[in-house]
Amino acid sequence: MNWNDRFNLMKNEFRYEKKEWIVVSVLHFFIYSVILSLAIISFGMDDIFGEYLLPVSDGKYVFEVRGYEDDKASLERMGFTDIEFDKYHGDGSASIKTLDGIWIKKLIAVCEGKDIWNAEFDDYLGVMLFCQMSLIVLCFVLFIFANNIFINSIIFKLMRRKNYINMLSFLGCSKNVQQSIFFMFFKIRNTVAYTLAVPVAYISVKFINRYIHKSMKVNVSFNSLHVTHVVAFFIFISAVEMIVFKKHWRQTNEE
Amino acid sequence: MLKIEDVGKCFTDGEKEKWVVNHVNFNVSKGQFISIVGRSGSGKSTLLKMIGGLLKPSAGRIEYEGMDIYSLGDKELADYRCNKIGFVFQDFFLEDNYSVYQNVEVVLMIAGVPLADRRKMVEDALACVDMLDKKDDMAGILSGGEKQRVSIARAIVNNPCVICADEPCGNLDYENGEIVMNLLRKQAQMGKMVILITHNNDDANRTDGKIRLQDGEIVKNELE
Repeated sequence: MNWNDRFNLMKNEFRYEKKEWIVVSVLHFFIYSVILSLAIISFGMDDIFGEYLLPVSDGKYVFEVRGYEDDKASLERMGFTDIEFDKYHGDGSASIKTLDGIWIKKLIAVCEGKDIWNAEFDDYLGVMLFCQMSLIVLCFVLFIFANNIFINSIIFKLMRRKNYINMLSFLGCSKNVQQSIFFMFFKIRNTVAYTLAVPVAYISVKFINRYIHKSMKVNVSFNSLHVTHVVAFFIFISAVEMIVFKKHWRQTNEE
Repeated sequence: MLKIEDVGKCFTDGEKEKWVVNHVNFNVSKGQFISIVGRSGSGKSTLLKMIGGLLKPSAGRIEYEGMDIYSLGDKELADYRCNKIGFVFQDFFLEDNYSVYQNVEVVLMIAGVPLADRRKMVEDALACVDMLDKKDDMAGILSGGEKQRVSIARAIVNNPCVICADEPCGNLDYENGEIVMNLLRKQAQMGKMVILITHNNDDANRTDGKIRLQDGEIVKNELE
């Protein structure tokens, strides 16, 4: 069967169970809008926190460092300046202009048996990390939820169209062609949903930026979505969709 | 010629084995209209599915023109079903949301027939079953007899060599049943092998020869 005919048969599938696929598309659209927005906020929170705390720290953040006496270059690579060491105690200090990625830097230091800390800031940084982790966990939970909706949708569709799939088999349509028809249906339906989620996430972040500029008097913004992030997101979602669909198609056919 | 050689089918339920078809042997030639009769559960539909390439036998061979159809790969077997076999079922198996034309055209889509050639083929098949005037009607609004005629049109549109009809008159009244049997007889007269599954002796008596199945085995073979 040529791809044009497969596409036409796929198009016909949108006539069936309209309520179900519309509801699922809308749900996916909302969930992915939220996931993208939360992901942007989570990864941009360092900058926002940093900028918010900047007025009380004279334009830079001074951290105490331990274990870097012989490895000043690592600190410089991480963006630290004004590096000084106490020749008697081994501890030192270094300053940095932004808190962007500060927890990654702290984690790298701990993994190397070193330390970067600030007794005054660490409480705030702890709150920031908690917020970031909560948002990332929430994104993950929402992703699992969206995936479950997708799985249910596949099972529902294949169950409702069982007679049609059997008919195609009787008429000599191979399983691969049948699979491609139904996969195209799910792919197009889902792609519309999360393609629309991208501009919605972009607009949401713009609103949040406007709020933090006005109300929190913070000059930095959450980063908007880059093309590479969007492409990576699409590739990831597509890979998950394909794996999930193939698994349930195989299970349904074995039954 | 279609050769069914010592064919059997076994289903396993846990540790128990049940042979629903066992040691079935017969041949069908071009232009023959044969029936396989038996009570419900005698293995008729299972045998038909094996002949149609839908169910692999547990024993024996099914040969079409000297080729063991179950030695083919999945794609080749699907091609065999598409190009050599036409199915007609008791429950029609039509798509209610497709038009009559679309229901028949699906076979040609699967067979990869170019779009330019399809219209004539579909219309010829519908004309054969006297449904051309309803080609744009949705299949869902047709009567039972009309649906079965569309089903026959779909079975013959790609000019298959074998037509497998599983209780085609089962859901039809006498008059429509007659129409269906006449259409199947016409296909046999055109040189096709027509295999009819039925539990109705009257329908079976209208064929060229009967094979009676009981508990999966042939108890009477009028073809020999």
